[in-house]
Amino acid sequence: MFRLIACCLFFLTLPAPAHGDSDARPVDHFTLREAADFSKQVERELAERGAYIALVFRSGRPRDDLPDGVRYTHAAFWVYGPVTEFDGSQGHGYAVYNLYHGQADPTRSYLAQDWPLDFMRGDAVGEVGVIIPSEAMQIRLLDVLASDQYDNLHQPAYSLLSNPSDLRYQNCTEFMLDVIAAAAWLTDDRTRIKINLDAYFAPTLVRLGWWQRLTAGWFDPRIRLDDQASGPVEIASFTSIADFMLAFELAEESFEIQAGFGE
Amino acid sequence: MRILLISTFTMALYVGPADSQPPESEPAPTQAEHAETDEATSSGRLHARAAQRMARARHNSDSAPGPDRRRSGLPVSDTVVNQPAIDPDPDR
Repeated sequence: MFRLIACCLFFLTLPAPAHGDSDARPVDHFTLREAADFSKQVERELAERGAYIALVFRSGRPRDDLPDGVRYTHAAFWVYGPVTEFDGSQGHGYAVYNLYHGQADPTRSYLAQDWPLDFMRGDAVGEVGVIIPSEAMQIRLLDVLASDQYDNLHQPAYSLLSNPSDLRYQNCTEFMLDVIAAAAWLTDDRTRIKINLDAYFAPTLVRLGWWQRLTAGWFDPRIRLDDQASGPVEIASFTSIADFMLAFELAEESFEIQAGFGE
Repeated sequence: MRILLISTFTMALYVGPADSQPPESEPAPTQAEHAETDEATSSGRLHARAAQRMARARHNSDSAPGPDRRRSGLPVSDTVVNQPAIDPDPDR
């Protein structure tokens, strides 16, 4: 009975979990044509800027469902390279490097490469956030992605609200931040990375009430807070990663792109 | 676990960050050479390798003496790739 009452109160205070966070399954909020057009629009904008790698963020939930200071629920690396055309010839486009949580066990994650259309099928807002790394940082990031370091930086224990300064859990944005830190400090030692991030990275703060803290993990197993201190929950987000990269001249620019189909 | 937490916190507080200097992003040739000798383990890795080669070629070209070169855009195919990715979690 206590759990039933707690459940009702919880759902009054926190939106129900939805696909599209770090989930490989599509949300399909928009039509397939709209998602395809938006994915190609983003590819063209990245290519116009000469980006061989870019950090792209989407939201699988309406913005009203997100905490203050959080605009996106999934982040991935978009990497420029060869793609095969319908006629078998070779063209160029972007591939997407993701960390997804599992379906059967959402507390474990895996790394997967898919494509811009897959990324956009998880978008529920029609807007993405983009960070273009500096040219030197693009090379360093690609060095990590092209090597075994990329796999070594993966912590499969997943938490939707993982603390970027703590080793225990990781989500898609923390994994992205760890790859950035590995490229910046030239190490794949996660312990060293966490100490450096604790010193130089200002996380996004999410304020949860005591009731949300107490009950969140009961109903969404992806929420584990034992890597968080007692104050606000600390996470990595589009805003905090962009601020960090721009402050240390690791990025050229950050901006948002609205889908053209809304015009 | 508590010991580990105290240990990490103490290191950050008293020793300071492991590298004691903010992050930098000059290209790292030694690391890249190491990366290029690794065996490719997936098509995804190959895609990243291709991007790595192109980015380095552009960087070397920009660094070469000669007239000032401004970064130009990259060509993008009109094709929307929609091929199933390899599923590393097939038992779900």
